Amino acid sequence: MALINRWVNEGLRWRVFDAKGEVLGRLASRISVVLQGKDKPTYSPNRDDGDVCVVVNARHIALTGNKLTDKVYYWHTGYIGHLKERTVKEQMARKPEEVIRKAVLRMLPRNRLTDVWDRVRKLRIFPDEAHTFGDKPLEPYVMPPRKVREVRPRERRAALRAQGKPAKK
Amino acid sequence: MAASALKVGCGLVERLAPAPAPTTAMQSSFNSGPEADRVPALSSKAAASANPAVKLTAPLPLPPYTPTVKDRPTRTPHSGYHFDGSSRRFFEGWYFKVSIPEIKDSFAWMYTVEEPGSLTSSSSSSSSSGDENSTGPKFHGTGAQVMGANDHYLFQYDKTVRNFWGSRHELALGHTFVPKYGKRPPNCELEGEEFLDRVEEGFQVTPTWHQGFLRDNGKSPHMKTVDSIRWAYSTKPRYGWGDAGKSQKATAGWLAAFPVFEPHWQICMAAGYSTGWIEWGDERYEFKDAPSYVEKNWGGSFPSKWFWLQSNIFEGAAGDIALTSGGGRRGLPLIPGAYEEVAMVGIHYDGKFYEFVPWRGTVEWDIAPWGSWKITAENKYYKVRLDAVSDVPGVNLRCPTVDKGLTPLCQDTFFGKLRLQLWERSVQGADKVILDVTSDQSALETGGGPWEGNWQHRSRMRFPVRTLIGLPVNVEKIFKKFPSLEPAGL
Repeated sequence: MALINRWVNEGLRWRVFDAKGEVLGRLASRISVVLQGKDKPTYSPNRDDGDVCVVVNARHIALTGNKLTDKVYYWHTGYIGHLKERTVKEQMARKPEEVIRKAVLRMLPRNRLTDVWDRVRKLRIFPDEAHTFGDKPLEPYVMPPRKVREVRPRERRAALRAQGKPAKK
Repeated sequence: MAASALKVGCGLVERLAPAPAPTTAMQSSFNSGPEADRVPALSSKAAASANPAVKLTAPLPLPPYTPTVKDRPTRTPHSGYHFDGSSRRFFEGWYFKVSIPEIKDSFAWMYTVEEPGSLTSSSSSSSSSGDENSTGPKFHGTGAQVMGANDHYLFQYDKTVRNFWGSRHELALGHTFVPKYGKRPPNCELEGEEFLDRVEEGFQVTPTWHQGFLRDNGKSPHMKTVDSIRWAYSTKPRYGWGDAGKSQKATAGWLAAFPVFEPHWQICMAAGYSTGWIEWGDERYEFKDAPSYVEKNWGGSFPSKWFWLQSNIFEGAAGDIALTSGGGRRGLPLIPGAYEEVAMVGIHYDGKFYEFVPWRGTVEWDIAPWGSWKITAENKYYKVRLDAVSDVPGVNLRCPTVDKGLTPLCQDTFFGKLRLQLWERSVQGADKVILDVTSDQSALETGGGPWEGNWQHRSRMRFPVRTLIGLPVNVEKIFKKFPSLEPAGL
């Protein structure tokens, strides 16, 4: 990998995360742990020993509730009155990788290891199945099965009405 | 002497500031007068600041060397070098540890040889990083790592295995990194002085002798390293792996003779007494009857995840105790992707061997990625509990992997605090306490990954595997009748 300035490329692993159907924050939390190397017994807080995380199917990430339209990214351009905003839905239309990237980078510690940017460069996100690391020995990361909460009665009745079926009494 | 030798304070140690003459140091270390019982100052920093370290040019006189005898009583199965000449992915690694109670520190040498078959195949002329076009990446070479006093480290690596030699039937091996000018590297054990004549940088080790000189290759910039180590010591084995005076056992059962349930593990010497000296960088350590330990692994690669505990130095008991425990996750044969998690506890106490293995009982553990080890095990007659903690960060060590060669994937410490409790189970009434001892010089290790929080598991093999592995098959006796079929290393 170009420009990764680390003495230890001998232990570098390529872990593949499939984002299809995964909840954004829960996946980002796991990615940030692997990126920092906290799943290794050789972890040391003053040394970057994380693995390369290749995230595929970023376009198909899931968000619970109404966050697709209600979650808003804000940023200020520096000019007075220029507070800009963009919803997740709009961001997914423009650049879907940025949704996962923001989520993961905001879960990393704010320290000098992140400033050096090697740790950030190890996070590679692709919108679909295709990625450019076919020549590397990839290890799939197995996410635990997703726990989906039971459908609330009000939501269930609304879903049945939408399908045109009569609600059970 | 034998009964008390493994208690704290048994070994005689001289930790010297750089002495002006080797003969003076030698005399003071083997002096049997009142000075022999003196406990020296533990820190060399005060000595170093008062008297700057001077690298000695002349090594100390060698301890007395004894050649290896055939069929020694503490010889365990699988002591030999297991490589059988095939081209499959293969590694073998040896671990030699000497604990010096007086300085509350230890030294460990880890030798690995990987892919010895690659030199005979067409891929031997490919780049050293591996030929990915053939059967996958290959990392061949011989490595020597030393973890020493004050958590310092040394690593030397050679991409060739040509100069490595190993005995097929006995624990004897050696490698020459740099031979003396004009001399041929040895391919068998040599007498101490002859080894010094022929080898500039290298090592040789037998059940009773260990000698060598290694130089760090500078590939560990993030760790505290020393430039070089020179050492020579002799060992008197006390325990192999089994009851004292009886035939010794294979650690993993009789199936370790075959390439199934790899990687294999064998403790060659659970406890021994070592006498000699070590020059670690600019510091010299001399010791007499220091507890030592030897084990080995071989197979395709290390387990994907493992832990290990070992100690020979305990407080609170009369008699000598040697503890080894370890476990890991390994792949199952014939079923790709399937794995099992196994562990074992082995205790030698007063000539008796207490073995806790999954095919004769249950082993349960709760291991943190670093800092805490809790193991309980029981068999038909005994039960044991181990509790260990480490409050130091430890040293990062390299270990062989399937796809990346020697990789820094494990963390070790020599300063673990451990409590060992052993009971004899009784049908009526309370269990009888056999041992309740503590150690603050235990070696603790975790490695591999990924570790997602604590690793908790209960290992108990089921029928028919339990019955199969538990069969009292004496593989050595069988193959003695058919020596041509005997696997290498047995």
